[in-house]
Amino acid sequence: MKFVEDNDFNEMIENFKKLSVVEKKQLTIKEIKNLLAVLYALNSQNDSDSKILFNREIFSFNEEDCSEEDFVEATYAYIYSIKESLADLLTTFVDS
Amino acid sequence: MDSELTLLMDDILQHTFEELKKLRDDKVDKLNSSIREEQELGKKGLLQEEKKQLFNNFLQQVTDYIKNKLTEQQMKDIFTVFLAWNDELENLYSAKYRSYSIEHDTLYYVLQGLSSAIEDKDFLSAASENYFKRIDDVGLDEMVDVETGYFSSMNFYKSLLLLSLCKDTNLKNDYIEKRLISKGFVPQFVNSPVFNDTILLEAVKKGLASCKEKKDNGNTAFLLLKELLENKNIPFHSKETFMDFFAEYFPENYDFWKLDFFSASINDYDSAMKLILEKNLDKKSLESVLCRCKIKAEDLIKLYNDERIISRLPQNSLSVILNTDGETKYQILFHSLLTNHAIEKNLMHEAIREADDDLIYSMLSHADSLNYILQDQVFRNEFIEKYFNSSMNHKPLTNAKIWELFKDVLTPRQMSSLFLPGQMPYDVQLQYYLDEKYCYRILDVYHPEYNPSGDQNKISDIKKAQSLIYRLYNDNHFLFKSFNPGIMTDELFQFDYKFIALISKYPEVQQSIIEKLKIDKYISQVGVRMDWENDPVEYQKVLRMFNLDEDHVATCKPIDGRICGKVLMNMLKVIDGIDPECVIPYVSDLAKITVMEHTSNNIFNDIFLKDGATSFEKFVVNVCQGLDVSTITPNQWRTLTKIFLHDIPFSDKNYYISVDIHSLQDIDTYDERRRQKLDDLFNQALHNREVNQAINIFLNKYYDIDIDTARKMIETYGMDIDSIKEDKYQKSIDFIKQLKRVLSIKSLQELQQLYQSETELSFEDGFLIKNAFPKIFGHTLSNQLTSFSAMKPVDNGQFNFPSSVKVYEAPDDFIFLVHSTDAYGKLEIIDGDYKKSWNESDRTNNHGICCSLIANDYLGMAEIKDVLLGFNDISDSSLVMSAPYDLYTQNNQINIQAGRKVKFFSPRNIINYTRYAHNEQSIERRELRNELVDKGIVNLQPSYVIVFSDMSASLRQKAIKCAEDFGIPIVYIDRQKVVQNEANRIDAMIRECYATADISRKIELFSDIYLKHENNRCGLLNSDESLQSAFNTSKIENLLNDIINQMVAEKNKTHDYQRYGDSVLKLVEVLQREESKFITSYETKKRTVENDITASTYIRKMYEEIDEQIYRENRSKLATVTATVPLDDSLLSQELHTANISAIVSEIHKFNSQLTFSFGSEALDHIERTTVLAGIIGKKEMPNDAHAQCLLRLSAELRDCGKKSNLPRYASESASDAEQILGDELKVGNISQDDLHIIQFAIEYQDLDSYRFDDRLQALFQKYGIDADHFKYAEKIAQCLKDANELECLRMTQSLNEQRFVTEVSHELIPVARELLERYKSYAQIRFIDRVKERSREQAEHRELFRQSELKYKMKSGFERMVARLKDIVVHRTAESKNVPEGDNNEIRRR
Repeated sequence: MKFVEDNDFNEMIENFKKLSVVEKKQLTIKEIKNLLAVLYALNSQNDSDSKILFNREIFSFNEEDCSEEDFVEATYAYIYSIKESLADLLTTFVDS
Repeated sequence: MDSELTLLMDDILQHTFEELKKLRDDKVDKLNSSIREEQELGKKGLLQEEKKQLFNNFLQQVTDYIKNKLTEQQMKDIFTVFLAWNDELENLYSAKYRSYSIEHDTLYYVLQGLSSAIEDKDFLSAASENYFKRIDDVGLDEMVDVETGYFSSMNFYKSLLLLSLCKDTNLKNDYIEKRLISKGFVPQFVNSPVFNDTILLEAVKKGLASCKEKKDNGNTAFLLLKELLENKNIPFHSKETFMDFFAEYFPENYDFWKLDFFSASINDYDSAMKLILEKNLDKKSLESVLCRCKIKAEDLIKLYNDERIISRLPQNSLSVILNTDGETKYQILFHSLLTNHAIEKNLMHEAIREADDDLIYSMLSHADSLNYILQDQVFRNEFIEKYFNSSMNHKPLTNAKIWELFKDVLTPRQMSSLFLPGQMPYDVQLQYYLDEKYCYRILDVYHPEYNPSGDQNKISDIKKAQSLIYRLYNDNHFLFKSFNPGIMTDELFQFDYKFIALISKYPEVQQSIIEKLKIDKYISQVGVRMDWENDPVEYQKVLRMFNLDEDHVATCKPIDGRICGKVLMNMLKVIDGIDPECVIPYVSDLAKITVMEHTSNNIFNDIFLKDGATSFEKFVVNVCQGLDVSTITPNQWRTLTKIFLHDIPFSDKNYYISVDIHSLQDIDTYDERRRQKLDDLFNQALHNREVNQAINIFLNKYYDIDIDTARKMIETYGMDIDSIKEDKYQKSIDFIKQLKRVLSIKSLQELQQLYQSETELSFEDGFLIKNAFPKIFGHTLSNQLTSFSAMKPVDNGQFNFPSSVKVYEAPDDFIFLVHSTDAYGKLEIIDGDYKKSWNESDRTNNHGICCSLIANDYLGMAEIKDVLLGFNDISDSSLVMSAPYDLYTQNNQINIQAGRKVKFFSPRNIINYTRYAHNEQSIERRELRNELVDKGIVNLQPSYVIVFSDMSASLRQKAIKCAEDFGIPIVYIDRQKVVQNEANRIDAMIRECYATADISRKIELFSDIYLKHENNRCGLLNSDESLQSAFNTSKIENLLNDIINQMVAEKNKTHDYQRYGDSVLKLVEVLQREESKFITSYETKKRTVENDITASTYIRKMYEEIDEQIYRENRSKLATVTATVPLDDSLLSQELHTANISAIVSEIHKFNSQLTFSFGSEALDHIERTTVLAGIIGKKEMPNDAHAQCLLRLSAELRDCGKKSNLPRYASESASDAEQILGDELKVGNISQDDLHIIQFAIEYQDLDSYRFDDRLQALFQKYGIDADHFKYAEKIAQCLKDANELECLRMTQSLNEQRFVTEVSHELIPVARELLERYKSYAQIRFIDRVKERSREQAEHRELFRQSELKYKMKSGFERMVARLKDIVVHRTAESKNVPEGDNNEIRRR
């Protein structure tokens, strides 16, 4: 396996580390949501019935006022949601 | 120490503490007060013995407990632990048993218990190993205080106590021999329990031998012999064996010492008689023996009754008896124990001649002695003279009784003091006024037979005086009661009866007029200008004569002759409390009276024409001589009165500005000319940028008041004015608020704008507004007191009250105004009727009723010794003085004086600010509401009687009786219920606070909780501890910690430093506000229940969360502080923003580098502040001399440079060091040698105690070669520095002694110095706010950096680029799909 380093990426992460926990959580969730949105958009292009796996932890999650536990639970749920959306996309890709 | 042993030790200590506490609380305290009472009566002895016995019983009890509880081995083990007792253990146990406070006594009791159970051998062996060894290690020599020669170490006393426990005499003697006697440490301990008689004698002998060997100068030997001979346990014959030592050590005074010591050592009749008879003493020696011997009273009396003794003494030398102790004196004098009546009479004569207050009290209290006095004309005269000169506070006989017994021998002066307002029943007074035999003497009017030494010019027609008095009596008994016979003079007869009747109502007015008449005569007799400063005795005499208050005595230098204005001001003070609408014309009358009296008496001319006369005085001198005052118009009188009201001659800081009057026409133009003068002065102040001067002129012009008076008004009435909402006195409230606003102005521009827009307050409006100030608070108080309508009537049976009284229970929320009748002096109960007593006792002579305000959350009040009366309806004028602390008021019948500053608050805030055991509300005793006075109600009547649930049965019975006598209800307060209710409320608030997430709301709730908690705690200061424990501070501390933790966690989570900073400042304000109340109320914060919240600890914790270096920085604060001072026209702002602060800071650091190292940053802070203050003073005092200002600055900067220790005087060292420090400056010519000498002089001048040109000052001038031409120059610089340093004393004390100021401007600088100090105190807060801002800025920068780096990376991120491409594709396809048929769309979607 080959690992590569990128200075701009490192710089961004270093600056990310200086942010408050709340901001870090907000940015993390924002990025997850973006990724999910991209996947959804791709799936929508292929299937008008495209969907996103949802869960109560995601639905009731408030990144501005959440405990560590809330955050981890929501992140975990989001990962599965991403996995399912990715699976939909890969299915289309494999089928075609 | 194993755990079992620890538990046992705990158990023993706990038990001992509990028992000791019980003993003290239950018995010893009561016994102590009885012992005090006994001592006051001159008896002593028996109760002391009882106390000793109580402690012995307690000791036995502790010993038994230990014996029952422990095995022998355990006792030994624990004993060993105690012997090894050290500071570490003491701290441990002190913390554990904090509420008991460990004392050495307690340990001693435990030790004694333990030692009784173990063998001596074990005891000394353990002691030698553990305890004495340590003593030896320390070394006995080191324990001796070099100054006194006495042992100072507590350890040594402990070892003596241990030794006293040792039962084996041989072992003990051995130790004493080796450790004490051989080293010569004897004299100090001859009375310690270590020594028995034999050892003592031996020790003394060895000690004396040692003295001889060391060639001691006699002091030690003296001490040894003294202690030995005064030791009661050593028999007389043993002491005799020491006579040789006397001869050896005191050959010159051998006889004297011998007799002296022997007299002191005689303690029985036989020894005394033997000594007197065998030694064939001369008269003087015999007297000495009788005086000094310590035998029982009955033995002494036996001696006095023995002819062999009496024959040797001359009769008049029997006064030696008076030197004996109180008990003996009492028995001999009053129990007729002497058989020889001649001696007895002689004794009584001596006793009266030399009587002190105690003896006079005893004589009056005992019928026998009183009869003895009354039987003899000489005795009576001498005794009554003594009686009137005594300062007894509580006299055993009423004035009426004294009059009855002594009226025939009283002098006119004594008579008039008995006839002062309210001193005697008025019917008795009238009887003697109308009796020719006494009338002349009471009024001190000449009569060849009845009063040959009386005043021949006082009253020409005694019948007229008698008829006036009789008319007064018939018109109104009340007026007659307050009538002062001193006003009966021909001068006042010129006015009509109406005038006499009017002033009869006001004791102070009468007193003032009498005093004024006296001073007129006094000045006319003296006839020359008096030198007040050099004749302080005379000065004090006149002050006393005029009944001037302490403030004036302490701070003012009176200018001779200007008494009149002050006296009449006093009159107004009394009158204006009654009805201001009626006063104004009367005030004009007063001005008229003054003018008339002045013009009829030319004595003031010489005085007034000299410097410093006021406008009114000049007017009197210049205009009124020979003038027909009837030609002065009412308008002119009005103007004169206005001037007259400000004619306050005793203040040397009189800021009131007026213009002179040289003719009657000048009166008409007075207002206009004054206005013009004020405008000119205002412009001048603007030009000179003197903001305080400008404010003073503004206040003069628009409110007819000066700045000093305005400040005092605000201090008294303005502290809580924003809480008051009363339409009735809205004008006065608005006026106080406006005064506050004007006094807080710092900008000349703002003041100038106000000066142009404000309108003048008319004289009448101003007078009414200012006189209504106390009424604002009286009205609010009366309105907010809990009335019956808010209380619940209860069934009498519920609380076991008889049906004869109506009973209410206090509601959950209440505010009561209460008076404890016996708190500060007994209420004389007349005919067993409380109502009669309240209205007719001697106490009604006093104006003030000392009340306290209590509430459901504050139950503190003066001790209840009799009944507790409540008032819920008072006149607005009734509240005379008020403060949220004890005012230490004193009623001297004429007026009420407060020992502390009067500060009016709203009722709720009185409770919220009371941090003492009680607050004080002084209420006028006389009923002031006309409608009630017309109904014959003279005094304010109570509304109810308060009964507390925990009152004793006897107090409860008294309360019921009192309620029945008055016909008023009882208000029942279940203290336990109120306390529990309050505790529940606080608990509920705490729960709510914990449950609240919002920090801001949490802090608000905490503020309310903390306030309520402190209110309750302070209110229960003198209550049972179980009640106090309902308000445990740990609950509050836990909540506070929780809030802080939440704030910190939120800050760490969000990095929202600004929000954290805001919350911290809000919480700091709450903590500091509560803490500052203890300063306001002159009270210590120490409380018995648990620990108190120490605001500084929490504040530091919160500040350090932002930057842990805040409290550790060792840098100059001046620059930081300067940055917080806004740029305005205040003196501080002007100085800080014009001076070169960075240069000053750099110089101070350079000059004082060692100082910071040794004394910390506070030493630098002090120099910085002194330099700033000296800078301001220098600019005012030497405005055009920049060089002098520079020398002053250098002197201030160098003032402390020689400080090496904490000794108070180091100025000469600083002056010397200054030469070295400034050496380089001198070399390069930046300063001259003369300059250096002036700086050194100014520094060393600081240690002079006096400002006079005395030898020390002259020597200082010489030391630095300052010639006479430069004396003033150098001294001015030194004085400026000295005043700056005086102002800096504020860092140690709340108030300054302004008399020590030399420069005028320093008085004005007190608020400036206070502000500067406050800014230094809040330095940590300033740094905190700065750091919060910095951290917030840093965080914003982090966000921005992240945003940029994120943007940068995303530009090249594969994912982002892919997403962008996909977006393009999607957009493209969407566009295509809009242009293809339906079927094609499906194809695209599939792809």
